[in-house]
Amino acid sequence: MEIFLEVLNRPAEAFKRRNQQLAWILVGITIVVVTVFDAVMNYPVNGKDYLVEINIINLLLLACLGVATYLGICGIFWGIAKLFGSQTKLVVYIQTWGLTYIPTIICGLTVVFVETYFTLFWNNSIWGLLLNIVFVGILIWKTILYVVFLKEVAGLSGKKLIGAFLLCGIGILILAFLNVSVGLKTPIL
Amino acid sequence: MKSNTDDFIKKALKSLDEESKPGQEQKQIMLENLLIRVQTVEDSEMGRFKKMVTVYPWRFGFGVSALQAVLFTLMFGSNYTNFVLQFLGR
Repeated sequence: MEIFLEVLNRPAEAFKRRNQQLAWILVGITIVVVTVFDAVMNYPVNGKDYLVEINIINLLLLACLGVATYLGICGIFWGIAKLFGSQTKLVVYIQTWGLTYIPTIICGLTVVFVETYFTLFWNNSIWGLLLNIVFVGILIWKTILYVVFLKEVAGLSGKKLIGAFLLCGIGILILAFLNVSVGLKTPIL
Repeated sequence: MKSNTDDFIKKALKSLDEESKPGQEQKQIMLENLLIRVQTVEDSEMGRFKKMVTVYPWRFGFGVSALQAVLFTLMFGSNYTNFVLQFLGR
């Protein structure tokens, strides 16, 4: 629990501690939320109105794509940081980037709820306002974690940090687009 | 007699000199004072802001987000909330 709180509240120290088990658990939970939880929530709510099939092979394929996305983004970080003179090994990225997945999990849950009860939230200012706070807050939170990650794990600073931030940002956008297009509604990033 | 006086003066001067050098305890105090000063330099405006953002990052994120959400919703109403919702939903 203490390690979890550290990841939540003091990411810089958590990155230094590099708890790979927790990192991979968080990635795993994100993938389960985006694949299984999404299908399970969709089934009882929308299954009444039209046929919703849970395709296990499709879910497994999506989960594999999620893992591939995680390895892919770590590879992109490693490659670009190396260009900017970072000495950090690829393994270290794979062991630490998962520690930034708490906002991704919350985002995944929010997306599932909004998709399922979309008609309830549409045109409703109060629900819209609350979901807006959550969604934009998650984006800012994840961006902070992203910068702290590049600084602490890749060991970049100053102009190098800005350069890597922008280049990795392009990589993140491309992977996010690919994720959404294959059906991972919340990108595993 | 003369050399005695000289010795006495030398001793007195030596003891004065030794007295003026900082002792072990004083050195420690000086070091602590220096360290405190370094600490306050690190705690400058920018440093404090960086700390506020990177420690408890969710607090900063949701705080700024709440501000923008309230502001823009007051300005544009449900047009704005629907605009953000479309990224989340279908």
